[in-house]
Formats: sequence, C-alpha cells, structure tokens
Amino acid sequence: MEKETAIFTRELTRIFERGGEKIRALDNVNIEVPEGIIYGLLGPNGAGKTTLIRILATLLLPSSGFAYVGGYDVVREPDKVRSVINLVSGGERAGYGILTVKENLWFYSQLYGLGIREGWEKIEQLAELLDMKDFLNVRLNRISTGMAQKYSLARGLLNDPDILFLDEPTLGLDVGAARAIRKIIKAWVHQNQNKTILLTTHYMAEAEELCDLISIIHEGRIIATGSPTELKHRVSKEVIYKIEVKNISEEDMGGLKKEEAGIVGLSTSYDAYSNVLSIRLVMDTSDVSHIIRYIEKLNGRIISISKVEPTLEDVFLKLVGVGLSEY
Amino acid sequence: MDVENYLRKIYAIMWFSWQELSNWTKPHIFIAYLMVRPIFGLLLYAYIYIAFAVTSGLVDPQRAFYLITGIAFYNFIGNGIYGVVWIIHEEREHYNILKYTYISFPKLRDYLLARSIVYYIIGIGLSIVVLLIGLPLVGYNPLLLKPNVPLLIFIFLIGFVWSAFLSIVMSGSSLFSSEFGPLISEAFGGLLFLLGNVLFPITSLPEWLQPAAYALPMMDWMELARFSINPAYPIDPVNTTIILVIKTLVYVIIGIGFFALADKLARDRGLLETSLYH
Repeated sequence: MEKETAIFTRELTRIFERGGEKIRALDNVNIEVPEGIIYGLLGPNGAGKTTLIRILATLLLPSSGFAYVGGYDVVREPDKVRSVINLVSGGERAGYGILTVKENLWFYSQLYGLGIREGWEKIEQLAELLDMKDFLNVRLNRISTGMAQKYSLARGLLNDPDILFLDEPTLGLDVGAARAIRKIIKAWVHQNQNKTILLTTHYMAEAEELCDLISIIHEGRIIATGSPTELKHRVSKEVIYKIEVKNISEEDMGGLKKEEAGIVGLSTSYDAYSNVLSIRLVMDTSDVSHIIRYIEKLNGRIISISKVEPTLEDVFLKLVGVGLSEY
Repeated sequence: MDVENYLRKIYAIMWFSWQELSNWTKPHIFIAYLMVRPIFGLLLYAYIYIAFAVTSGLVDPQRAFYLITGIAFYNFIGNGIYGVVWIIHEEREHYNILKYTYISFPKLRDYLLARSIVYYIIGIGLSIVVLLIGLPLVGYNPLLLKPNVPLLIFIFLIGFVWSAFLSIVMSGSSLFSSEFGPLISEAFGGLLFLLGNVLFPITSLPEWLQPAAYALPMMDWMELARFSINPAYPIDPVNTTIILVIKTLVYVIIGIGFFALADKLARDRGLLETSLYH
C-alpha cells in the first residue's frame, strides 16, 4: 500500500524583520514527508529548523508558500492540524514547577480531551515506556534535565499524535540521557507504524542513527534530501581524511588554499587538553602532499593521517564547505 | 460539540488555575495572602471616611454604603481581570507553556476565560468578606441589607462576562509585549477603579473623562450590584439591567473580534513563544 504524505510544503518562505533588516529564515522550502518515518532536519543553529517546526506546528505563519500537515493547511485549518500533532522542544522545562510531573501531565491529558481515568492510565503507560515511574510524583522544579526531557516527551505523546515534532530533543543532555531519549523515540515509531516524526537536530550522529529520511538545511534552504545512505553516497567520489596535528591553531588552517589542495570541505576541532587539532577533509583527490607541506611550513607536527568512512558531517562539509561545528 | 468533554477540559483548567494560585504555601498563609490587600484597601478608605466624618461632623449612611459596596464589589472585578490579563505573561514568561497550551486547547481565548474563573470565584468571597467587615466599620448595620439572591447571581454572572471579555482585549494586547503584561493588568484594573463608579459617581469625574466612564459597563454593573443588596438604592433597575446587557454584548463582540485579530498577528509575528526569560 502506498504511504500517505504526512507533511508537505511548497515554496515555504518566512521572512523576519528585525531593526529594519529583513532576514529570510526560510527560503522556498519544499519537503515531502511520507507517513510512518522519522524525518530529520539537519543543520547548524540558525539554519531555519525551528522556524520550520513553528510553522508546521501552527505557532507561526509563513510569509509565503504552503504547508500541509496531516493533509491540513497550517494557515487555514490550524485547529485540524493541532488535532493530529504534538510538539516537544529540547532544553526546556515547560510546566508548572510546583506541580508534580504526574499532575502536569494530567493537566495536558485533559486539555487533549482524555477522560479523567483515561488520562491517569495514559500517564501510567507513558511512565512505563519512558522509564519515569521513579520521578512521576516529584515536583517538576526538582527533577534533572534528563528527567525533564522525558517529561516533555511524555507530554508530547499524551494525545497519541499522528505527527510528532521534536525540536532538538537531546539538546543539553549528557550522553546517557541522550541515548535513552533516542531509544524511546525509535521504540515509539516502531510500535506505531503510521506515526511520523519530524526531528530537528544539529547532531549528525543522532540524525544518522534515528532518521529514515534527512534533509540538510542551510541558511533557510534545503540543500539535500535523502536517506542517510543516499546522502553519504554523495561523497562516495571524494576521499575523507582525518589528520591530527600539534602546535597549530584553527586560524592557521584558514590560510590554506583549498582549491589548489583539492579540498572540497574542511572542518577543524581543537582539543585544548591534549593540544591536538583534528582536521577533517573532504577531498576530490587522494593526494594530501600539499596539505602536509602546508602544515610543516607552519611548524605543525602531524600525529596521524587516516582515511575514514564518510559520515553525514562530510556530506555537510561538501555541500557547505565548512563543518557544523564552525557555526 | 461534546459538552461533557468540553466541561471536563474547563474543570481541568480551573483545577490548574487553583493549583497555580494556591499550592505554593500552606492554606492559612494563602488565605492571609488573599485577604491582606483587600482588607488594607478597605481600612484605608474606611479611615478616610471616618476621619472626614469626625472632622466635619457629617455622617451619611448612604455615602458610607456607596463607598463600602464599591470597594467590596470591585474585588470581584479586579481579581477577575487580573486573572485573565496576567495569564499570557505568566504562561509565556514564567512557565514556558503558552505554546503548548496554544496547540493543545482549541481556542486560547476560551482557555484564558476558563483560567480566570477561579479568580472570579475568589473575588466573590473577597467581596462578601469586605462587605461584612466594611459596613460595620463605617457605622452601617449589615442587617439592614436585603440581598436579592437571584439578582446577585445574575450580577456575578454578567460581571464575569463583560469584565472577562473586556480583559480579553487587554490580554490580546499583552501578546505583543513580553515586558508589560503585568503593567497592563495593573493599569487596566486601576482604570476601572477610577472610572467605574467605585468610590464616587461618574458625574464627579472631569467632563472630558465622563464619556469613557459611560462607555464601560462597570458603572451600570456597580449600581445594579448595590441595588441587589439594598432595594432602597435609588436606581431604575430595569433600565440599568437593559443598558448593562447591551453593553455586555458589545464588549463580548469586541473581545472576540479583537482577540482573534491579536491572535492572528501574534502568530504572524511569532510572538507566542517570545520570552525575555526574566
């Protein structure tokens, strides 16, 4: 059976005016998300991910273009859109702090029209799914960041939405808590075949692990869409190198003439503790001699050079020229 | 529409409002917190009246009744409008839940009205307490009152309707400002206190201000409220009721129209999530 389209946008544009200046947060965005998948919107901070989610969740009107969620127009039929969606934002603790987690959830269960007993039962089910039983009766202002994110996720699942928007769901979480949240997201989609998730993230590994389909968004534009494998295939002709260097700074690498060296994309990250600069290169040649000469000229000491398997980071590097960490 | 489902939502919203309002402390401290402001307000005005009566030798029970009933019934309106107008600021700034409320309840306007009900109910209690304490303070025997209970119920119901929808206009305005939400609710309450037949008749106001006072339902409501507990109060109740109902309808229509526009503009400008993170 052919899958229905859960989310559809055409030429969706949003312009903000700040201090007389017009900022194009979304620029002719076209996406088509089939139901029953986790769709990832990957991009750096300020790329337009949250703006898109706000429009799709009926919190913001577009400047032009169209957006349909669950078959409903977000501008003309916001009430119908709201009946099939829910939204979870990462890094926030939205709720009344003096009420317990359970009480906050019960309040929302009632707003969503669940019966009084049905609401309590749903909360028990979600507590089981999200492993929340230990802190269900704790006040919201006394729980940890990871617990708060589980609470937010539970709130987002209360109405059993057909389409769930997750805006940076693991933002600010430690590795363990982020892993737990990702596991829950995967479990929920696998248990509910027709449910769709639109997830925004700037974590490449998260997008790669969770998403069936990914769009890379940069400066308000969708610059690539495909499955993680399809996207990585875009750098199949390039060679990816990881070079570790000492005694050289990130700024020093700015002087490298990329075209001469055959560099398509370059990103750096500096570890102050070990004084090691990690350089990731997407190259259209396997010859790195030009780069080695450049590093040696700056008295840099090369620790290691290795060819690595492409990741979504390299796709972004190739498409934009710099890594996500540069933003 | 599923009425039972809708009423359950209203109940949950009222429960939330009550929890938000009261569960930060012990019941006796909460009651003291509720009473302090109205009681001290009453004492201030009662003292002014008594001091004037003592120094001038003029004791006027009718004026005393007018003053105390104005202060008492204002509690219902003042508490209620604060309940409506403050919520946008509170949910957006303090709890970051406005956007979630917005997408989980059909109409933000109706949500605000439901949230305010508890404030109005508390307002009824405060009105009665202030009345019972205030009248003896100024030498007016409360046993002289002849409350018309059906009329009182009508007064509180119609008072809720006009003041809540008038407050909805202010609440819609507060969508556009993260900073001035509390100021809007305070200033609006003060304006109604000034123009609403509370401490003095509207005819005492400067002529240029009187049209604004006549345009508000507050003056008619306050007169009818006085009449509802004292049938000797000199007004034409039928005429006053008709005017009050007409003004109420006008403000309901204005409230619905204005808030729909404010809601659309706020969504257009992305203000539902705007927060200064105070």
